Amino acid sequence: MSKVIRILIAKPGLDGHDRGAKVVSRALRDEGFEVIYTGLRKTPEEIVRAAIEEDVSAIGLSILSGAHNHIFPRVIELLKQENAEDIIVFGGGIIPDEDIPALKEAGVKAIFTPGATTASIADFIREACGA
Amino acid sequence: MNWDIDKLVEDALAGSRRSLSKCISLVENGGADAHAVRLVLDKLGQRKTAKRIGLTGPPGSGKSTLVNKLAEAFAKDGNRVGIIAVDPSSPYSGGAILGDRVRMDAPSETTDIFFRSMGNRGAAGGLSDACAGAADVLEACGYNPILIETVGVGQSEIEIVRHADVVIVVMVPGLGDEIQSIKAGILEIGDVFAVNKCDLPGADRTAHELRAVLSAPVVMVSAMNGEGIEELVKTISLLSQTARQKKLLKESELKMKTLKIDHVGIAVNSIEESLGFYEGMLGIKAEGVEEVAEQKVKVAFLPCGDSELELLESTSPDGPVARFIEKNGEGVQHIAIRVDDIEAALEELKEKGVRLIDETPRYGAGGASIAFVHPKSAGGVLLELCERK
Ligand SMILES: Nc1nc2c(ncn2[C@@H]2O[C@H](COP(=O)(O)OP(=O)(O)O)[C@@H](O)[C@H]2O)c(=O)[nH]1
Ligand SMILES: [Mg+2]
Repeated sequence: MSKVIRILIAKPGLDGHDRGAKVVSRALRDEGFEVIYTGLRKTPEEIVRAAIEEDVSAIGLSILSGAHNHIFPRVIELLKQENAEDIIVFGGGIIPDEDIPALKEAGVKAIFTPGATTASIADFIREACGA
Repeated sequence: MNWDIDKLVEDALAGSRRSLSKCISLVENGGADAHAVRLVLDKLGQRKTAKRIGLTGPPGSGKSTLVNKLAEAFAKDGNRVGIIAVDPSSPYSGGAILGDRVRMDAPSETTDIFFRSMGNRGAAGGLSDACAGAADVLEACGYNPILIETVGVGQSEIEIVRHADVVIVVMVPGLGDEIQSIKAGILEIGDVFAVNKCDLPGADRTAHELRAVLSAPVVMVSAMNGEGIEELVKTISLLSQTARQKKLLKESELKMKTLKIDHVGIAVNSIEESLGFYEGMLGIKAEGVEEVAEQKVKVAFLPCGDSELELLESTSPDGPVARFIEKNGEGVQHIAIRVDDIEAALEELKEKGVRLIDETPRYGAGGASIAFVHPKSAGGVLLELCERK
């Protein structure tokens, strides 16, 4: 039996709208992942804590509020503090093209903008997790 | 890879949450690695004494919210709390959405709570193993109690909570007339019933109807505003104490075996005088008198049905029977219970912390092997254990 890949989907930031995150979670479940869904308005500290307790291989952050330039680097920094930088970080939501290079520079492995198929997200995770 | 696993467990025990989490994954994934983790824990001589509290009930009844509140209450009392929350896996893809964490609102810096989600992975028989294994790992790392949330459907989920020390069934108002039709299984496994959402109308009625059909305690709570949580925690603690005692009892049934009341020892000033009463008035005939020099006592046996009375007369003013009479006057001095294997019985009692006067058997009247248990451990009774060949 191949190992089940566990991922964490979080919706940080202050806006109370998580439909997108839920759609992605369901799609990834149907692709065979165990998706730990943490709900709305989680802080980077809460997200990293959850990722460690749940032993996930990847963290997907859904961000609509424009706080991406702060939240992504913060999550990556906290992972480093926990010696957990092997956990992959990717993102989705409304993120301007011009911000993407800097986020990748900071360690974000992939950014999926609206219109990306869930199959492409699933393929990315499998490949990045070496499955 | 055994070398890695030793190190991983070692780091987990030293307090690394990441290593603890990885250990749980190994146990959950089963196979050789799970076995290796078990071996390390066994080598540590792990004792399973942490309270395991199972929560079950219909989806949406508020189990996760309640688990979160209970965990905070236990943590406030100075405990480190482990949580395992099980959700169903998709039978089609094998994937799952594990969403119980949504209700977690403990501060992110607290190290007193460890929350782990688990998919039932088709429940191909492995779920209770995975869950029990995860609980063992948490316990080894100092977590106690361990709260286990499962959806109250499906045999494997019921199996998990059945192994918990205390099972809480979470109900909600408005079940009303449906109580009779709730799956019997779920009612049977509950040690305590929590009527959650008591901030909503109808909770009284539901509690009332549950009390009418159940002997288990029913507690009204609101996981939302905290009402009743304290009472529920108290009820859980009481129940887990009795659960532990029952467990001990079960273990003792396995080893030592008591056969019958062998005899009742009665301290008397003079055997001859006392026989006037027992023989003359009750018609119980004495069957020989024996002296046990070691105990400074003369003993007469009076068979009475399947047991005997044993009259004890001191042969010296400093003997134990003389001292007993000096303190209490004549009367019942000890009760003897016959066991099948006295050495094994003593060893077992010692292990359980029972105070013994004799840690090894010695000679007793009538050719028996005997040993005394201290009255401090036996509710004020001087208890003799004896084995007769
Ligand atoms: N009014 C009220 N709602 C509650 C209470 N406890 C939980 N809920 C709500 O019930 C819903 C389901 O809760 P959840 O804990 O996820 O239920 P579970 O599926 O049994 O784990 C959520 O919307 C909670 O906010 C309560 O005590 N009162
Ligand atoms: Mg739940």
